[in-house]
Amino acid sequence: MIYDKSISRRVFLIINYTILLTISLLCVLPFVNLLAVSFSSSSAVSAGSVTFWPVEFTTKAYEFALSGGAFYSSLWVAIQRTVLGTLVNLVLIVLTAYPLSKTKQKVMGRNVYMGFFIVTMLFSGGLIPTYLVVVKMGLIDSIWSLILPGALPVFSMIILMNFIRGLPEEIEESAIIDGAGPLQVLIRIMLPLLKPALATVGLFSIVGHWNSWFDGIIYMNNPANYPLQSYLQTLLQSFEQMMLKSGSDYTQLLSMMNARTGRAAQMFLGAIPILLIYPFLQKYFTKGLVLGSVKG
Amino acid sequence: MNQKMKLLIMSVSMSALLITACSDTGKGKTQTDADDDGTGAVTIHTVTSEYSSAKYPKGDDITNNVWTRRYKEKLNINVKTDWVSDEYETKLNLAISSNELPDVFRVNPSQLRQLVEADMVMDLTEAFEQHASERLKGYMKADADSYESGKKDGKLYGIPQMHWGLIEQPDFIWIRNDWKEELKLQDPKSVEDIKNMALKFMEKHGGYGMAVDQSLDYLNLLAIAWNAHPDMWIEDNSGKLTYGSIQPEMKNALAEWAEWYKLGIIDPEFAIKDFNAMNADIVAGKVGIQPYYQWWGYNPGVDTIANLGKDAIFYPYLIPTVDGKEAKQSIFFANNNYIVMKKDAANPQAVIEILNDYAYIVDEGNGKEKPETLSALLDNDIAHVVGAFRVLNPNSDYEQFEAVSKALETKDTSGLTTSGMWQKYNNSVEFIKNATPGATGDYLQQGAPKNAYGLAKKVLDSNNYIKTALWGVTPEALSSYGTTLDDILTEGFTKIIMGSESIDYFDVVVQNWRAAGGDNAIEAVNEAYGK
Amino acid sequence: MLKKWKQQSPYHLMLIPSVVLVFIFSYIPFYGLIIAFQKYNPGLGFNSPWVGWDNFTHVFNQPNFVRTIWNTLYMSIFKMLGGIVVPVVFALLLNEVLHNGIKRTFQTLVYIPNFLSWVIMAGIMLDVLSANGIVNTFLSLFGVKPISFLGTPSIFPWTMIVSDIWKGFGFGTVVYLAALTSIDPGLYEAAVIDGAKRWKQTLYITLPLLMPTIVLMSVLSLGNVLNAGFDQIYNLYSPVVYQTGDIIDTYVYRLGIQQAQYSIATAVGLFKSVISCILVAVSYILAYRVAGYRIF
Repeated sequence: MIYDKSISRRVFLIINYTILLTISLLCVLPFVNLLAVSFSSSSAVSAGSVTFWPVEFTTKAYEFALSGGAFYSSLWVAIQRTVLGTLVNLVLIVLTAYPLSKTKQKVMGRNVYMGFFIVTMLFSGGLIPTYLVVVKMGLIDSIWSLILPGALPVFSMIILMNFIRGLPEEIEESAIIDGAGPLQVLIRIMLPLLKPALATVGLFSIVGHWNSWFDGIIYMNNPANYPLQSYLQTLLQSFEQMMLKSGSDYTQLLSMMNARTGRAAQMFLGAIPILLIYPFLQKYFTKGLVLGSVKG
Repeated sequence: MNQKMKLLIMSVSMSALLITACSDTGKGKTQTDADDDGTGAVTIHTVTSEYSSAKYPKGDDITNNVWTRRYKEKLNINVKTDWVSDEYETKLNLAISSNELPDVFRVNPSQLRQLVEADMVMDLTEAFEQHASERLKGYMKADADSYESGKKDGKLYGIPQMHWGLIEQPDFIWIRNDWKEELKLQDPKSVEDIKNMALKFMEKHGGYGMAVDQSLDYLNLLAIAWNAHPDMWIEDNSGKLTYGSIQPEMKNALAEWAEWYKLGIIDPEFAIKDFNAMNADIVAGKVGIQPYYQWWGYNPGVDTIANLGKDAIFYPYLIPTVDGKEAKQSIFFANNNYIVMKKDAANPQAVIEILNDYAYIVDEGNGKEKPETLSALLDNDIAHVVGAFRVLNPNSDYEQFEAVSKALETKDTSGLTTSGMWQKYNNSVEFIKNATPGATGDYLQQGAPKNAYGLAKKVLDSNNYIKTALWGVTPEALSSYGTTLDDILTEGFTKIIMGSESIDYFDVVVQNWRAAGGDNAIEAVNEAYGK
Repeated sequence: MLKKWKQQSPYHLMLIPSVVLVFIFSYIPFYGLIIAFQKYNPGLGFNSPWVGWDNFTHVFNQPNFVRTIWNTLYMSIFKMLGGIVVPVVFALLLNEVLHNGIKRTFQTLVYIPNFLSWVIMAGIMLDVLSANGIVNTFLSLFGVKPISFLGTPSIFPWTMIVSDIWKGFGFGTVVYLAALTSIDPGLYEAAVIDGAKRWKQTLYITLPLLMPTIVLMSVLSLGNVLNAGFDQIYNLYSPVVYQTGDIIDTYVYRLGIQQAQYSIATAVGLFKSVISCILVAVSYILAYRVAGYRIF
């Protein structure tokens, strides 16, 4: 990039950095507050006295969340599910996006396939029928129940498809002339060029798998099979749930008090792994491909 | 062809992956146990929800604990839990849809109705008649209405799990004691007293006078001071059942509240505050009056004492009326859970035996069983992990309070026969001695000089209460609206209180309520519960 | 014809795994949509009594339901607009940062709010936006009286819109940054030689080349327009702002609190799907006919 050293440019850069810094700070502050809350006593949090620094420092919330083997076993389940799930997602996304990026002359019925997938983005049978299918497939208590439904994220697939379309046709054509079949073209030529897009949709998959908790609770009968977020969810008693139960279990009331600090600790524990991975993935976003322009 | 071969192999292996995934259920259900494993022991399957505050000894959990072992040893019954879930209602609905019912489980009233309609649960009339102990039958007699609500056409389909008693229902006005004492204020005997107390607190300490939240639940429980009974069904002048929230008395209450809001007595931000936000100011020491349930001591009590010290304690007072009398309390139907068994379950009497045993341990165990046994079964909230396998004594809290208050008065602990009684007694003593924040709940409920149950007992003994006419399962026509009908009232009432609408808007709100389905609800309730 | 098939078969084979999985886990459950026309009893399953359009009329006859449709659309559309503009602008600003390390830091920081659940954010926002909170204290410096951001019906939707954009823009930035890196630097070099300053470069090179991605993200998010964010609204609304803040999903939730209303939920879900489908189809056709973008 050729640098422009004019004054207006410099001014712009200063303003730019200021804006970026301010926005970034605004984004980080709630997180700092969260951290402080997670290390504060529940009575201080109930009184609303915690801002950016812990009040009455205590590690009780973390002890509670980390105690017992359940935290670590659910962490392992979450890692398994995220790695496997993302791999399955990426493979399917690539295998689907490539043929669909072609015209209907090159791939017959391509529009029909496309419509087939798009419908699933808009319509859903709902919780009960999906559950029944999962049961009939014998996936209850299996990690595949968290991976196979939704194994092809259509949104991500469409993004990748458009990226592929943006690449110049000459690249493929020259490979085909050299005698390569579609699969070889895909794997040897296209994949390396798709790295930024793959990193992008890969990140969506990772975050999606890591954060989802409801499917774990529904499809796993044995709590030992819960992934991390499902397990963390069970530690907290929500107010509505408690009020709807019969009679007032006084000890439930007591445990409710720890909810806010507990939730903060839970959030923090759940977010850390992703925030650690994110910078590593970033280098794929920022490495551009020095090749042709993006076509409209 | 090399290319295509590769692709073919890949497609096939993908599909193979899928197929192995299906057979790789591993930890799935492989129950092929016969109901009788040769030793004469019976196996029952159940499901349950999590109980996160129980403290298990090492190695135990909700499916394997001192109770399940007791069932095996004492009663020769194997209890297997098919699943445990935090989203119990949803998971149960899914299990029902996929026809995977366990032998015995608990349901809420609408699930009971649906299961009976679908003919999926067993008629328990005979099993109960023949095998239930006298004590268990006594529970049913003590709250016959709840017992009836589990029946259809005279046949018992769901055994009600009961509750701890009506004594836990009356509500009070809680007032911060040190502020009251320092201003030398008397106990409130009329609504005017409360208003003046609030104004004096505001003068001395700033801020606003009374803490309530956006649901209006706390103001609603105060409404009995104007002889209004919102949220429940009562007879109007013509003998027909109608909804308390739309009665003219409610209009009076609202007019007064709008006045109080203008004066700054009611929290100016109440409309956006939820339960936790409302209590934050109590815990932070910014407000001194709160209309609330009898369990104030547990939450926000514990946090308040922890944060501000024992002098910041709030005491309960009976809610007075506008004309200086004691307000009539609203009492609601309290049974929300039923025990059911699936249609072709094999051993109904085994389940009844477990229920008998639980009742025995809780009410008669003291003296008959070793203290260590009882402690392991009932302390640390282990008493609450049994899921569907218990029926509560509907008089338990009343009897408990009588014993505890007597023991505190006479210092004679011989009357304390259940572990619940001992806990309340010990915590009350603990608070008196050391002002331990964790003991605040039990202390304020039963042990304090001014305690909640003491007042509640007075209300019950003098019959100073009204029971809602909807004493049983809510008619479907009403529950199909969820909370949306009440929401119309809450929204409208909030506007009146905040002053964005005048008090005459009340009639518009009621009209809207009727049109949106309120009239249907009135009809349905009259059909089910009217004369 | 046969020859064409043989030639194309690699592409079709690539598509098979996705088609199979999507068929099993998305299409088979569509059968469950008949619940929308039944009075669903989990015990009777799909044999529950047939009620035709009753579920729909029951819900649509409720006056408070109809206003939720308007509220949903209002907040959704502005969230979408903001959800496109803000990440694009931010990506452009971020792109001007020359130092990679700083760029990545900013990018990570702004992604953080995405991880905070709305349950947590609600607690924080209630504090920050209260009468004595930071925002009102700041405004009072300029003589502005305290504003009730969460309690005023006319302001509440905007509080939702702005906070949602704030929470989610880090996500969109990822996509646009990836797209930006795919632009051929050669174009910029040529522009500089022609004497164009940075601002002109942005206007004539970057934006037009970014447009396909922008259009893609817009059309895809249109499929979501009737969702408007249940988690956020549920945790932040209150009866005083129902008239502008109650959305379809929160209303249906309250309908189903006392007895699980699977029929109603499915009926409303079906309604939403049909509307979304129409919107997406229309915008796809518009994008194609008017601007020449082929998204699907």
